[in-house]
Amino acid sequence: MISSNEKKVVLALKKLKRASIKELAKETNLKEDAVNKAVYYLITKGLVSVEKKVDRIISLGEEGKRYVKIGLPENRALKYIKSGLNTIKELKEKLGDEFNIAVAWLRKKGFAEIKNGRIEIKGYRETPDEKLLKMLSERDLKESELTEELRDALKMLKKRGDVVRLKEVSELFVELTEKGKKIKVEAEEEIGILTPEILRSGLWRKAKFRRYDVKAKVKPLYPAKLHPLRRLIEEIREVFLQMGFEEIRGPLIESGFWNFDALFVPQDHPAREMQDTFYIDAEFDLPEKEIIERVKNVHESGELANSIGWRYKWKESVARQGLLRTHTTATTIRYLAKIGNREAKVFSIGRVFRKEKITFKHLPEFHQCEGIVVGKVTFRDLLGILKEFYKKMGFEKIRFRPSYFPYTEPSLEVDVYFEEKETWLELGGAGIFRPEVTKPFGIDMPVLAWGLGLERLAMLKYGLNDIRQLYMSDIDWLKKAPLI
Amino acid sequence: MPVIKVNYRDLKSLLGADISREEIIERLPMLGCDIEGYDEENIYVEFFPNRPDLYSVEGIARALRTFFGIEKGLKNYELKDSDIVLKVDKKVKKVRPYIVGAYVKNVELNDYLIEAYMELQEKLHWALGRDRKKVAIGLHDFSKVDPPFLYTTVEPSAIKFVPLGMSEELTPKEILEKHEKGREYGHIIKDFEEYPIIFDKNGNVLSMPPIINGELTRVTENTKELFIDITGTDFILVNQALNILATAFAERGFEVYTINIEYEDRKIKTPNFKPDKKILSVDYTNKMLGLSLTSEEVAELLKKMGYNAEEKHSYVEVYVPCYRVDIFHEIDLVEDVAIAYGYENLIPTLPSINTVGKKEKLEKISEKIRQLMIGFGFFEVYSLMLTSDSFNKKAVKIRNPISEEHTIVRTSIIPSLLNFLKINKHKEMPLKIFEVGDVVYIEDSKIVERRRAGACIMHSRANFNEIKEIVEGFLTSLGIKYEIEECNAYGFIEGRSACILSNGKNFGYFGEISPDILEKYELSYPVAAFEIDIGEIL
Repeated sequence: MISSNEKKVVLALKKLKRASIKELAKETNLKEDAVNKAVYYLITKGLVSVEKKVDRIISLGEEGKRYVKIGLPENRALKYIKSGLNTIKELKEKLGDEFNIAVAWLRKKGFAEIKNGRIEIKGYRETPDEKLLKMLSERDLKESELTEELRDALKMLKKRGDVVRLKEVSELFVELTEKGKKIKVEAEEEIGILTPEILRSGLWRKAKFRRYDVKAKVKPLYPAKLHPLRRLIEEIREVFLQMGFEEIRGPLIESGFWNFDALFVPQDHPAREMQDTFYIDAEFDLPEKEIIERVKNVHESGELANSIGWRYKWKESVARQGLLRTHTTATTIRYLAKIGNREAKVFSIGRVFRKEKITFKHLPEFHQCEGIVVGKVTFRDLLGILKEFYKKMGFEKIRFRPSYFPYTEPSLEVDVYFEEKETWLELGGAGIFRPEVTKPFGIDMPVLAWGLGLERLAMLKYGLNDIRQLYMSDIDWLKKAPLI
Repeated sequence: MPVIKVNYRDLKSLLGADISREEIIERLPMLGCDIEGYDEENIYVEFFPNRPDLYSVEGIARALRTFFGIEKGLKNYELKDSDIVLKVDKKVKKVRPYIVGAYVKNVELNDYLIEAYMELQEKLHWALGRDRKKVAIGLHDFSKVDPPFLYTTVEPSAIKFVPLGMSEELTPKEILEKHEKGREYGHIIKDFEEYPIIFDKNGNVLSMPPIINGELTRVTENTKELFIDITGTDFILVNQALNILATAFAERGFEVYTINIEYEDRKIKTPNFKPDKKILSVDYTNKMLGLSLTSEEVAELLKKMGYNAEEKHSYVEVYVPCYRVDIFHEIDLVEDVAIAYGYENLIPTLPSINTVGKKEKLEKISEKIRQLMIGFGFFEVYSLMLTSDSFNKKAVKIRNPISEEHTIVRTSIIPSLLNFLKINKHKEMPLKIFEVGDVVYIEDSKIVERRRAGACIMHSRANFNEIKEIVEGFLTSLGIKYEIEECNAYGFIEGRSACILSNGKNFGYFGEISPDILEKYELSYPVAAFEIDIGEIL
C-alpha cells in the first residue's frame, strides 16, 4: 500500500528520473514537508533511493556587484581609450587604483597592448567571465549547473578579490530503485480538503476522498466555561429557587453591629478580635435609636428577651466599627430587621472574610450560602428542610448532631455521608435564631437558619487538595475540569 | 476551640460503668462535640465554647453518667465550711475587683492529674476568662502558706518574690519584663499604678493575678491540700470558673471546703454550689421542637442532662447545676431537652410556607453577563478581593492585613485579571478570561460597593479593536444604548482607551493595557481589557 502522496512522488520520478526534493515539490504540487515525508516512507518500502550531493552556490561578492553596475576595470579602460584618452597618464587619472588591474587584464585577455607610453586596442570580444557575472546578477548559480567554459570563468573570477562567493550546500536527490521502477501506479484524482470549488464543479463525483487516519492525534479544544465554584453556586441557587426561596444580597463591608451585635455576639467575643476579623478604618452609622436600645438591652441584661444577657457594658462605638463581614448571617439579620415579623423564605450566597493566612487549607476569603425560614415553624421543620435541601444537592444520607453558634439555639451540625470516601463529613450548620437575636427586631416567630461554606464542598466535588486552586487557578484546570 | 484529651481508662473509672470505647466515640457527639481523633489510650474531643463544664474528663464523665442513664438528675456535691479567711483590700476595685476561692482537702495527685488540671485552667482562661482578662485561676499547695490571706495591690517595684518556674526573686515589674507569662499577659495590668497580689499572713506571695503564682505554693505530687484563688473583672464568671474547677475536684473524691471572703462592705462564702432555679414552659418546649411531650417527659429528659426537674403540669421547675454557664434563656433548656431526646430520634417534618422562588436582580443580570462572556469564549475566573493594587482609586484599607499583598479590598476587576494572567503567562495563548464580581472603593468619603464585569485578552496581537468588537457586541446583546468616547482611563495606553457612556453617564471603559502596568504584572504580551459597572446597566 502506498499513500496518495507517495504515488505522486513515484509518478514524478518516473518523469524526472532523478530529482531534488524541491523539484519534486514543484512537480507534485505538494509542500516540501509532505514530499520529505513521502520520500521517507518510500525509502522504508525500498521504492526509492536517495543520494546526498554536495554542491556550491555561487553568488556575487561586494566587488562583483560593483563590476556588474559599472563594468570590469579593463572594459572601462577600453571605453576611455576608444574616446581618445589613450596615454598612461590620462588613464591613470581616470582609473586611479584600478589602472594596474585594468592594464593587466587588457593584456591577458589580448584586448590591448602598451606601445610608447600609449595603449593600443587590439580587438574586443565578450569573455566567459563577463557572461558569468551577468548570469550571477540575475540569480545565484550552482556550481554543478555550470558549463566547462563557465567553470573556467569562475576560476578566473575567483582570483579577482571579492567578486564571487561560494557556499557549500548539500541536497538530496531521489531516484527510483529497480523495485520502484516496476511498481505500477496510476495517477488518480484524490480529494484532500473538500473545497467549495470541488462541490460546485461536481469533481467530487468522479474523485476519491483521501482516507484520513482517524486516530491521528489532535489537540483538543476546550469550550469556555463558568468557574467550577460558580457552577456549584448555580447548583445551590437552583435548589433554593426550586424550594421557593427568594434570593437576597448584602454588603461585604459591614458594621460590627450587623455582623455581630445584632446576632447577640458579645463585644468581647474572641471572634471579634483583630486576629480573627478584618477591620477597616471606618465607622458606620447605626440604625434608629429604638433598635439600638433593644440590642443593647439583650446584651446587657437580656430583659427584653427574658434572658440573662451577657451582663457587660455594651458600647455603641464597638458596634459602629467597620469590618469585612465574617458570615452571610449579617445579610440575613439585615433583611429580618427590614421585614419584621412576617413569614419569609430567603437565601443568600456570598463572599465572607476571616483573618486566615493563605495556605493549601485556608484562605482569608471564601463563600457561604445561607437559607432562612420565618414562620410558625419548629426544630423538626428545620430538620425536614435540611433533609430536602441536602437531598436536592445530591446528598441522600445525612445526620444531625448538636452544635453551638452564639446566635442559634437549638443548634446543629449536618454531617454528610460520602460514599466514595466511606466517611461522614461535616458540611454545614443550622439552628433556630435565639430570642435575643429576634426580639430586638420585633420578630416573634421562630427563624430557622442554616448555612454552609462552599469551598470545602467544591474541593470535595472537584477532588482538590489545595483550596488556592479555586482562586489562583491554573487555566488548564479551568479548561479541563469536567462539568459534571 | 478547645480539644480535650480524654483518657479512656480514667473516664471509665469516673463513669463507674463498663461502657466500651466504641460506644463512647459513637455517642459522645450526640451530646454536642466533635471527635477529633483517638488512639489506644485517649480520645480527643472538641467541645463548644458554651460548655466549659465539659473541658475536663471529670466534667465529661458527669455528663455521660446521666446521658447514658447510669445516674439521673442533679449531682449533689458535699461542701463543708472552713474558717479560712481571705480579706479583700478596696484598692483592688480599680484593677481587678473580684476574688473567690476554695480550700480542698484529701487531695491525691499524680503527674497525669497535675497536667490535666493545668490544661483545664488554661481552657477556662480561654473560654470564660478571655485569655485571663476576665478570669484568672491560681492553684496552690495550701500547706506552704498560712491564712488569713490578703488580696491587695502593690506598687510594681515594692516587693520581691520568686515567681513560678524561676529561682530568683523578682519585683512585679521585673516579672512583666522577664517572665514568659509576664510578657504574655502583662498587658492586662501594665497600665495600672499598682498590680494585684495575694499575700498570706506572713507576707508570702501566693499569686500575682492574672500573671503568675509564687514558686512557694507550687502544686506537686506531694500536695495534699489545695487552695484555689480566682480573680477577675466579672463576679458571675469568677464564680462559674470556681464551680467548674471545684466540682471537678469533688468528682475525684477530694473534699471541697468554702472559704470566707471579706470585702470592705460584705462577707461571702465561696464556692456556692446551689443550683439556679428556672421555669420551663412545656408548651413552649413543644412549640419550638415540634413535639408533644408531657411535663413528666420534659422533666425526665432534663434529668438525663444533669438537671433536677419537677413537673408542674404546664411547666417544669428546673434546677440548673452550678457549673452550667450557658443557660441564658428557656430556649437553652429546650435545646437540652432536644439533645436528651436525641436529634436522631426527631422525625423531620416539612413546613407549609408557600412561597415562590425569586432571583435577586443584580445576581440575575450577573448570570446573564456570565453567559454572554462564555459565548465570547472567555473563561470565568475567581480572584481574591484582598489585594494591594488600588489601581488609582481610593481603596478601603484593612487595618490588620495578613500580608503586604493583601492590604486593601480591590477597587477594580482588571488587576485581579492581570494577576491571573501573571500566574498563567506561560500557558497557551490567547488567554481570554473574565470575572463578574464586587469591587469596593471610597468616593466622596463614602464606601461604595459595586458589581462589575471585567475581561482581558492576552496574546501577541491583542489590541484595541479586538476588545472593542467584544464590548460593542456585549452591550448590544444586553440591549443597552451606548456611546463610546475617547478617554484616558487609568492603566491604559494613552489614546488607546475609551469610556462607555449611557445617557451621559460613564459606566465602563476598555482599551489596551499600558506597558508599565504589564511590566508590573510581569507580562510580556499585549493585553486588551474592559470593565463595566453592572449596577449601572440595571
